[in-house]
Amino acid sequence: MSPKMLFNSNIFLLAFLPVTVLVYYIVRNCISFRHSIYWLFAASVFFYGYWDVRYLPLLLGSIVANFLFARQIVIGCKRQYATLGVIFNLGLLGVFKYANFFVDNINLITDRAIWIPEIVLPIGISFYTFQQIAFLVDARRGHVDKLSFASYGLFVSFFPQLIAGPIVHHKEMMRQFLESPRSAFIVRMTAVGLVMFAIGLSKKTIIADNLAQFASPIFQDAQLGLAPQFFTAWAAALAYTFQIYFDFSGYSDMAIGLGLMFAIRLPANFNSPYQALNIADFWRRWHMTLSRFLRDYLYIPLGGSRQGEGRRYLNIATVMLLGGLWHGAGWTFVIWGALHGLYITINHIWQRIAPPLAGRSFHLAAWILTFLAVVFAWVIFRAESLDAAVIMYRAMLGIDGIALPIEVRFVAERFGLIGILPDMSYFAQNSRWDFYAGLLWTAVAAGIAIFLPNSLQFLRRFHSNIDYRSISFSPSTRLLAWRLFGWHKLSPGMAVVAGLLLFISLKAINSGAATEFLYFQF
Amino acid sequence: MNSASQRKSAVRFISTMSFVVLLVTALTLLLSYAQFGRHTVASFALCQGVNSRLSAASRIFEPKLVLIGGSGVRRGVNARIIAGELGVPTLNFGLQAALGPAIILHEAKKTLRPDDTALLLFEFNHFSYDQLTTVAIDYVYGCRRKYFSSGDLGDKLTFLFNVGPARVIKSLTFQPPKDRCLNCTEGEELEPASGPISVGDVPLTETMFPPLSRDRKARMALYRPITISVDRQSKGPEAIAEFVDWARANSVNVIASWPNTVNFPEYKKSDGFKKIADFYRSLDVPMLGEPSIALLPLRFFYDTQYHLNIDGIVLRSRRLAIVLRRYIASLTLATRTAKQ
Repeated sequence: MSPKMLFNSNIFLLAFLPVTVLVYYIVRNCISFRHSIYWLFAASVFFYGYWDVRYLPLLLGSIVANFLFARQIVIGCKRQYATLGVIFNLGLLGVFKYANFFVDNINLITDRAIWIPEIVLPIGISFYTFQQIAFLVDARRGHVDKLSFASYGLFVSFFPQLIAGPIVHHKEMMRQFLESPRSAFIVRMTAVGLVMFAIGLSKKTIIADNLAQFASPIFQDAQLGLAPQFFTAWAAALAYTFQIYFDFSGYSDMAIGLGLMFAIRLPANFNSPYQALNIADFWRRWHMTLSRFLRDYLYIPLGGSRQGEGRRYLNIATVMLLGGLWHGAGWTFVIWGALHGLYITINHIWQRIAPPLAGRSFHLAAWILTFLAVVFAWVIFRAESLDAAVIMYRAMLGIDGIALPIEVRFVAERFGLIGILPDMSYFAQNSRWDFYAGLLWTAVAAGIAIFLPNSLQFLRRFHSNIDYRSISFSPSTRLLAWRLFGWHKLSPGMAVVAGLLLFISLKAINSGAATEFLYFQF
Repeated sequence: MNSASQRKSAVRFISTMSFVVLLVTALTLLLSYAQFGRHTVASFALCQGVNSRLSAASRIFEPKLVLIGGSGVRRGVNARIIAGELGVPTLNFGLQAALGPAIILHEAKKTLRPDDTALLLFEFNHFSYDQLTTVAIDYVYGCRRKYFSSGDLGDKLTFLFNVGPARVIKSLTFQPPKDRCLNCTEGEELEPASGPISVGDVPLTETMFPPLSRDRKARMALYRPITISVDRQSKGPEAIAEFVDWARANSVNVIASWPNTVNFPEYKKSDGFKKIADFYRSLDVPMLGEPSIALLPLRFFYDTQYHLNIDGIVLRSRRLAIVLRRYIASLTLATRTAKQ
């Protein structure tokens, strides 16, 4: 079996990427910009086919079918082809992503044994299907005028964002496939792209993968029926909270960086979500392109907040439930979505009825509450089954007793902690150093995610190269990013730091098997 | 800044960044390459221990039983007891678990000849094993360059990128002990002189099992159940499957049984044992006994959840001998039936 072409794999970094970039610039400079777009499309198709060639016809079929639907819509047959196109896309998702889930549940409810073959999820289907639905809807609204197959194909299949986003909008992509930036600007974009890619790769390989080694065995134990201790369960929940952030935002940074290497700007996807002070703010900062899609193509068409408070909450619940289901065909994802729907509803009600509060202590309380709510919800998102989630929640709530690591016995006895709660005791980790190394990584990750500016804020000086429309800047982040770190120009120091980050990531990649990105499963 | 100077600064930036990556990578690879054949205290001791057992094994000429695994075998099973119970020469080839199944099996192949039997007793973490540990790196750089050369490009890069500065410093300060040589057979004698031979055991004497500190004992009393699962895509199961193929091609019989570990009630709910049994079944490797033969109360353990004390080793070895005898009897019966 050939190795998978992950962004954090040798095959991608040492073969696919250099060849693709090199040929792209040769074609662009020696033949034409138009032909470089064809090359990018071909390279993206190869990239997808390298994963699993069996699903290549599905991607290509989906692109061709949607292109034909869109062409009919643009010609004038708007309503019927738009409806047909959306049904076609939802049908694809239904068959390839949800069929097994629905049949399993029908069997469970009706006590029947309907059998369908086990369908393996084609990678990236949720992302490329959503993009195409948005495109058809916009074509129906009259927002699409020009259509070219190569541009459309590249819009859907552009390899940096094909597998796990950011979910791009045709308005921000199509014009970039038609107009070539100036040559001086392109070199600068490539340089900034390299830095962005190095940051993203190091977030994944240095931080997220180390957190995964800590959190995964604990969740895996819960899946096997082994209950973790109170302390261990919280440690795993927190480690996963930061793992998924560094994993997914690392991937998004890499995608943005790769896009820039081809002079294409992709939208921002993360804006320090764990610095949010309420849950609505969290969703404005987490997976921003999905939130944008759900808002524009689901929440607003459902009526948004225009039809009264009751309807607004119902719309929020519907959107979050479907958002949960988008992440995976399983009850754990549905409940995760429902939980966030509930959080947002409570947040809106609170903002309506509570007096406006301000001040540091209020901000701190708001941040703690938001953060804990998010951590609590990540547990069911990560758990492989409802049973495993229940085991984790029982441990986190101390229902089966609270045990402290034996290493803190001295402190606990000194301060009289033992005996305060019933069933309080000690436990020992079998691999003590692995456990404490995991805790240390979690603390480091928390420090970076909560207190430091994010990668886009660091590179704010290069605003003309990066799509910054949705990134907020406080005076403090500006000060940190510009003054303290001095990353405000393409300086030799910055080149050395970025080069070292790339090297450390390369070393981490070669420390064992390359690990998949968490969002690939969605 | 005009566009020409913008372009110039961007080109300079890309060149500097590429130069840094290439320079640091080249230096790392060179430094790593220079480490081959250089020992640290740990690699010398490990290489010497393995070499002496390989040498002793090469002097057993009858068909033999080779017990393969990590230190759970070395400090969990006694080859002498098994050889005595079965009347078959037995080699304890339990190495350090942190070497990983691929290296352990690579070494084990050197001890095996046609008609030998390999008994696989891998620790539970070996069934979802992917990481290359510092122990394995230290060992391969110390004395197994051939193992490095036999790997594919990915494996080679893994070794080359992962020599830490600590190993370089340790190798620079290492002085080989004057009273020990790397390729001598000292410490591993074939015993007893007559009757079925055994080799490779930790001597069951009090000096090899000094009393543990109170703190260590207290920690052990609080141990938690370990994760029992199989990840067939990981390198551990891949190495085992590759070894089984090799054994078949070389007329070596392969069987497997359970590793010794502390018994926890939670294991009754675990389906990890079934996954391991299914894994061996998929390779057509007979699995001897139930997991319970190797799950022992904490009082039988010495210093980790895999290492047994003297009483534990004796009990465990006798239990293993019983299932081995049953297996041999079933083979004999099958052979007789086939002849009839």
